[in-house]
Amino acid sequence: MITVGGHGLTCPDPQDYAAQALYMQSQALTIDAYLAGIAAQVTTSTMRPTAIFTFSSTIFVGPTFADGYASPDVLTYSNIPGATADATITFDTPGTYIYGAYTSLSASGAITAGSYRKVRISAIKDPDSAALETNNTEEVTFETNTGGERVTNKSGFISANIGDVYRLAQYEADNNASSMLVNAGSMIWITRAASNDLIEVA
Amino acid sequence: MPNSPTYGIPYPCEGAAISPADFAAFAAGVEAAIASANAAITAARKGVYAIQMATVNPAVNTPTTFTFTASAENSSSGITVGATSFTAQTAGVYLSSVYFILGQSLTSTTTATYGQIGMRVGAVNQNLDKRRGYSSLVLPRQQATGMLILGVGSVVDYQYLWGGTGALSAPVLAKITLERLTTL
Repeated sequence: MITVGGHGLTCPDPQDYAAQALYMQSQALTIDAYLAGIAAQVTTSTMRPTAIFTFSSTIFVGPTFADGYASPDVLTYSNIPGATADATITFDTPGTYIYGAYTSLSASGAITAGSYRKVRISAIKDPDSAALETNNTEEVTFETNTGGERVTNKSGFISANIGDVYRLAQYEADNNASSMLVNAGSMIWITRAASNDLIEVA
Repeated sequence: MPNSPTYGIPYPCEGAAISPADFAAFAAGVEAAIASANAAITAARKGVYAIQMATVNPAVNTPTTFTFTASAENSSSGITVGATSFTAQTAGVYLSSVYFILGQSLTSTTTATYGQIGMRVGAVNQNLDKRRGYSSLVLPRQQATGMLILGVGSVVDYQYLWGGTGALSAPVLAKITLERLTTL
């Protein structure tokens, strides 16, 4: 048999003419396996890398310009091997990712008029390094009176390569007379939106 | 004639007399296999999602379920669409969004203190977007995006709640999406 092309298909030599049945069987099985492999690969590739992180208990932030992490502590779901419960992610699949949060915020104590509570979901690259590279999406709620529960959803994008490490979430309060609570049940999530590569069928 | 295992491409048995019909069947089998694989790949790449236009006109302080008014797009049978809800046909992680395409004015005697979107699974609230109302007579546009972990047959619906006094002058119009990200 003479191999033709790059997909394992063959063409019979003259000495193979007596084995045409075997040749057709070989071709049928090769084509079948090749197509099934492509279909399986595409189906697998459409399963988007995704992780969900949840706060199991209420976290205190504040009271004045308290700017820091309030990390979740439960890995509710993940098919990203490098995701940990505190929303630190080591990426093994390059691509553009969308991240977001469902955050339940409330004030603890009296509210200072004109102060704010801020949800800033920061995607901080290489969080242990000195030179931080951040991508932020944030929402601020200003207090004009006695306040109350605040729940919000925000989302943003990052581009990640293999081995990149990102950490998500940051909360900030400016209530002179009170602290801010990130309530239990709040969650942070991330999912792969698209490939960074041009996919070529060859 | 035997067939290949996945796509059923027919081929003759070894040693059998081969006729032109065998070649024709083989070629037709390869053609059908390519078409079948292409259809499966196209479906997989398209994904599983549903987009619905919806409306709701709740009385003050009364959580009210959105009613679907028209289908913007539904990619497959992976999500079935009812009058007010989606039903997942496979277990998976889903991303859902609600976006107001038209917020509404309030009646002149109305004040709004907040608006709240509820995504519910089996009538249990999952994710919310809660926002204080403005002091004007316009209920602000809102959007909510959240992750849902759904099982086979999970029913997802959406509610809107606003607090204050008075009434809306007309229904709120929204676009609601549900997309499967991955199977469990």
